[in-house]
Amino acid sequence: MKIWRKKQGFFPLFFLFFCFLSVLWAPQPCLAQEQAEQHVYDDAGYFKKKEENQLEDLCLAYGEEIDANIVMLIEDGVENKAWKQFLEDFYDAHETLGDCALLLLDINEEERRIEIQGYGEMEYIITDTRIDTIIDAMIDNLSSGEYYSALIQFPTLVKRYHDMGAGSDARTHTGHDNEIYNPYYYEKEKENKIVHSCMLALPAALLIGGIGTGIFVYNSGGKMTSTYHNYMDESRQSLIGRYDRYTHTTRSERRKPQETHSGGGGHGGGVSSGGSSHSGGGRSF
Amino acid sequence: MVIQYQCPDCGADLEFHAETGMMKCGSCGYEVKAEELVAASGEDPDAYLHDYEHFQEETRYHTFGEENAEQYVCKNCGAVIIAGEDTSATHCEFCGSPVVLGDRLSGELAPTNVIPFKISKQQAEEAFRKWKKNGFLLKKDFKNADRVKSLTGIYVPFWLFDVKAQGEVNAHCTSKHTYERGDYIITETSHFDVFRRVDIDYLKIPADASEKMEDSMMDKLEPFSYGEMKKFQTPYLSGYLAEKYNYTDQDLFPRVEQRVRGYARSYIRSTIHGYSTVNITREHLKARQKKAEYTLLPVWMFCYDYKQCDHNFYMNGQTGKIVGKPPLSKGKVALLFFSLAAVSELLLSLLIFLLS
Repeated sequence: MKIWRKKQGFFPLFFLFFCFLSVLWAPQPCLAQEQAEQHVYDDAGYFKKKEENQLEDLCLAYGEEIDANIVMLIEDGVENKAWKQFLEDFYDAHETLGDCALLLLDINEEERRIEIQGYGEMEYIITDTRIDTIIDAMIDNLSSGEYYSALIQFPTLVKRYHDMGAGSDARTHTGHDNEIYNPYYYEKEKENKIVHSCMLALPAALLIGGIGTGIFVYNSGGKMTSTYHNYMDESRQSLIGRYDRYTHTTRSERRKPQETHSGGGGHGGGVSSGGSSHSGGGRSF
Repeated sequence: MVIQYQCPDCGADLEFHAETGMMKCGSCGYEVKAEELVAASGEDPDAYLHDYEHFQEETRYHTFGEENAEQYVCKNCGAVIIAGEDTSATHCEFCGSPVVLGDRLSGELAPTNVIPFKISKQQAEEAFRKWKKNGFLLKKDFKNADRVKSLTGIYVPFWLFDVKAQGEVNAHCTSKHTYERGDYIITETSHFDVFRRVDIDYLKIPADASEKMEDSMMDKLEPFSYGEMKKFQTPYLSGYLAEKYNYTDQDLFPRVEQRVRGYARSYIRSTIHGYSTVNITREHLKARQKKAEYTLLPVWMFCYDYKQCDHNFYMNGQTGKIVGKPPLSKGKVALLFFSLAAVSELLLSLLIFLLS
């Protein structure tokens, strides 16, 4: 019984450790993005019903696959040519969109503009640079007026980037405009940081465990406790000569480590008036 | 020469009593100080002591049978006392009477000092039991079993060395100062030429002179408190075993010298402080023996039977410190390792996480 009681002393430690590990390694709760009722808003009335339905199906299918909303707006002219603002306001007005890849096609002959924005998780998937590439891929069809062909490319391109994971310039624009708290990004970062901290601490922890146990084992049979103080005749001066002579000084300089942001650009990203951070980009055709 | 002390009141044997520090009669309870006992005998305390040459001669011609055992006769019962060649105090095997073999404590073999036992047999047993119980890495059955085969109070021969250590040390030391200026972090390192000269006296560094005792174990039994040290008198040995030395002070000095060098080095190092780095560039140390006193120090020796194997443990008979090599439980060692690693991992990763 006594031994059992002794052993119990270790259990809280183990319990604590396993709790910690389980927090670290437990699969992150994955909340499915609810699909919007409508994915294609043809306010310009450009597409036939059949085409619109096909686009709708496409957005829904790919959207479900990547667990995000893919939404297309087809407009005939946007007030003050404020396409970016238009999309931001649209996103703010549709609160349930969540992780969303938004596309605006302004087919007004005088304007002819495409604008794409990524919100939530999509902000890190279709980054500013990737949006440029997406537009690159679509621009030929757009220029030649093949809007349907251009638009059906969009969900597939978004899906392709989704499969590739977050873009390398994903951080850029968050630090660009305002430092905005983004739950998705923050959680990912936190998770990475925890794993990184654990990995970094592991060798040191094993070393401490080893050394600590070694000391315990070594001292289990009693240890040498007498030191030079025990036998030194402290009644007389033992230190009979000393000097500490300064000789010279050496000097070294190094530049302060700077906070660096990878990549550049990010001209189209920003924050909507509703406070949603997003990536973005647009081009006239 | 066999010395036995008898109670003046009842004639029973007098033994040294650790708890009271007096000679005590186990039969009637009579108590007397060891010094008074010697004085009361009316004899010169050194009268029975022969010189060393004589002892050696005696030893040579009175060799008893095998293994160089000597023949002495118990004054109490007349039985032959069998004593190993190094034994200077023992018990009569027949009547149990404590005997001191005076000629083995004579001449060059005469101890200068003795620290009498302060911990009685009963206290030693109790302390050992407690020590076992508290050793949390020990094997379970070892902790629970009570198989002390024998518990012997033994005066172990030590040489107490007075050593003078002299030396000089040069060191290159640096002191760092870091500050920020503009976009730069500037580190200024000041260099110093440091010198120390020492002349240290070390007093009464013990070194065990018995070949039966393991040096590392005897070293671990330290420190002894010299305030309770007495001038040697044979009554202190009554009731205990005692050994004579196998090694002379000259034999042991190299070991002590090494220790003194380490002590001197630690002391010098302690006088160099306030620097970021200390690099010893020159060291010249020498140790010289000033004096060595033959002293008997009290040790309780436990012979513990565990899995048909004897484990020896030693206890400082004055302070109660216990040393030995107990059998450890591999499971508990592993448990300790993982627990320490787990707690360190938890704290370190938390620290790194918070700092980053």
